[in-house]
Amino acid sequence: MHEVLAISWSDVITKDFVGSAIRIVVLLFVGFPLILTFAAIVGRSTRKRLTPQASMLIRKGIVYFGSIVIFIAVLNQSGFRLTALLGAAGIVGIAIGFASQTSVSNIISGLFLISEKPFAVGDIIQVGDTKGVILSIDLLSVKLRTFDNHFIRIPNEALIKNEVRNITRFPVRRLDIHVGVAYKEDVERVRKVLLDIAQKNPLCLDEPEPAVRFINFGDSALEFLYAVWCVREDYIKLQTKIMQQIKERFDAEGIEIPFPHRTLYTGSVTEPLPVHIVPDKTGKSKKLG
Amino acid sequence: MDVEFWKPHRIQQGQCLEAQVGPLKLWVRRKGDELHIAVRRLTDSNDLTKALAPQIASEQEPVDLDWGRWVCKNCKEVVLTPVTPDRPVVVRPEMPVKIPPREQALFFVSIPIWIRIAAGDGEHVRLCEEPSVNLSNIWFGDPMSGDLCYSLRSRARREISDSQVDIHRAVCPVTIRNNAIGQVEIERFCVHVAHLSVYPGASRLWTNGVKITFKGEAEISQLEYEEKPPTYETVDKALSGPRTPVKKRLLKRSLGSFGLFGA
Repeated sequence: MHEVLAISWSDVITKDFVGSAIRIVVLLFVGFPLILTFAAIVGRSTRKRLTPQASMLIRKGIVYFGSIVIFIAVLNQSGFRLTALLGAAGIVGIAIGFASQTSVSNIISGLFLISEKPFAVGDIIQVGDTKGVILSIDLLSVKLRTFDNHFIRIPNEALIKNEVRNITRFPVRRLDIHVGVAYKEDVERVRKVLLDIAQKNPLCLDEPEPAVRFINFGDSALEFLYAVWCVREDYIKLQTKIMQQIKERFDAEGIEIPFPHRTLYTGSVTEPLPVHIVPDKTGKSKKLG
Repeated sequence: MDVEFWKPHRIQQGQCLEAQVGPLKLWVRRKGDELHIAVRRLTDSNDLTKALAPQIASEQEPVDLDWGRWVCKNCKEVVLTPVTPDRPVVVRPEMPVKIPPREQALFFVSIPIWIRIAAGDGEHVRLCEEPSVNLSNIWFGDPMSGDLCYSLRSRARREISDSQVDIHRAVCPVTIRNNAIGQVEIERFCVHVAHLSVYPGASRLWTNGVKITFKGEAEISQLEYEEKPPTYETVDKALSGPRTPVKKRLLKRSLGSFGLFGA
C-alpha cells in the first residue's frame, strides 16, 4: 500500500506539466485582460457610429466569444478530450435548452428590440401601468427607473408581446384636459376664455393650435376637451400651470365648474318636502317648513 | 439711435445701475466681489417705448425683485448688448399675403431683441441674456421633426416708414421670392435669427437682410443672408454678431402650412 502511494513530486511535475501550467496561467491572466481591453476599444470606437445598444451588444459578444475560446483552450491544455466533452456538452445543452426557454426567448426578443429600435436609452416608456426612464437595454431585459425612483426590470419577451408606449419619441406632445362647466354657461364664451388662457401661456405652442371641443352633455356639466400642445420637456410644467390658470380664470369670469347634481324623488304622488334648518340666536335649531 | 446706450458703464462698489429697454427694466448691483442682476417686464403701454440708458438708480429698487448672483471680482463695468433671440422666429402676418409666381416682396419685420449683460474691466465676460419680450413658443414643421421657434404676430410692413420705432426691436428686412409654378400664400415664415447681426441705425436697430426663395410646397426653401449691413438708413458697425456663423446660402424649410396635427 505504501509502495503504491509513494509517488515522488518529480514524477508528477514533469516538463509537460509545467509547460501546460504556464500556458494555462498565461491564457487566464493575459487572455482575459486582452479580451476585455479589445472589447473596450471596439465599444469606444463604435459608440459614436452605432446606437448604445448595438455597441453594447458587440462589446458583450466579443467578451463572451473570447471567454469561450479561452475556456476551451484551458481545457485542452489541461488534457481534457474535447470531442468527448463536446459530445457531453451537446446532451447537456439540450437539457439546458429545455430548462432555459424563457431566457432564450428573452435573448431573441432582445435582439429584435435592438434591431427594431422602438426606444433608446433615456426615453420615457410606459408598459402597462409602469412608466419610467430607460436606463439600459440588455440582452435579457430592459431596466427602467420610475419617477418615484424605483428600479424596474422588464423581460424583453414582455416588451415584444405587450403594447409599449414611447412617450418621448416625438419632440412635441399634446396635453388633453377635460373641462366641465355648468349648463347655464355660454359655450362660445367658455371656448374663448380657454383659448385666451392658452394664448397667454408662453409654454403653450401657438402652433399646432390649441383646440376646444364640446364633446358631451354630461350628468351635471357641459363637457369640453381642451387640447394644448407643448414641447415634451414642458409637459409637466404646463399641466400644472394651465390647470391652475383655468381655475383662476373661471373664478374671475364667474364660470361655474359644477359638482355632480342628483335629484331625489320619493315617488310620483309625493310632494317634495322643503325643509330648511337654521340656528336661532340661542344656538338651538329652528325648523321652518 | 443713441449708440452711447450700448457702451460700457462704470459701476462702483455698493452702487446699483438701472436701465430700461422698452418693456424690459433691469437692475445691476455691485456688492463685494459679486454682481446681482434683476429684471422685470413692464406691462403698462406707456413703458413699452421708453429707453433708459444704464445709470445709477435714482430710487431704491423694488423689494420684490428676483435677484441672480454672479461672482465677478473685477466687474467695474457693465455693458448691455442687443442680440437676436436664441431660437428661430416664426413670423405670422396678421393678414396673409399672396405672392404670384416669379414675383418677390420685401417685408420689414420688427423682431424683439434680447439683452446680453456682460461685465468686466476692459474685457467683458457674458453673464446672462434676457428677452425684452417673452414670446410664445411655436412648432415649425411636422410633429415628428421640426424646430421649436418663437411665435411673432406681425403686420409685416412693406414700407419702413410705416413701422413704429421701438428700442427693444430690431428690424429685419425679409425678401420672399416665389420661384414656384403657382402663387404662394404667406401665412407664416421662419427667420433663422441665429445667423443675423444687430446694427445701430440712425433711428432704430437693424439686422442684416434675409432672402427666402420659395420653390414649391414639397421643396425646401433657399435662404440667403446678406453679409452687408442694411442700407435703408445709415447704420454703424454691428453691436453683436451672429450666434451661429453665417453660411451665405442655406436650404431650410422656411415657408409652409402644416395641417398635420389634428387636435
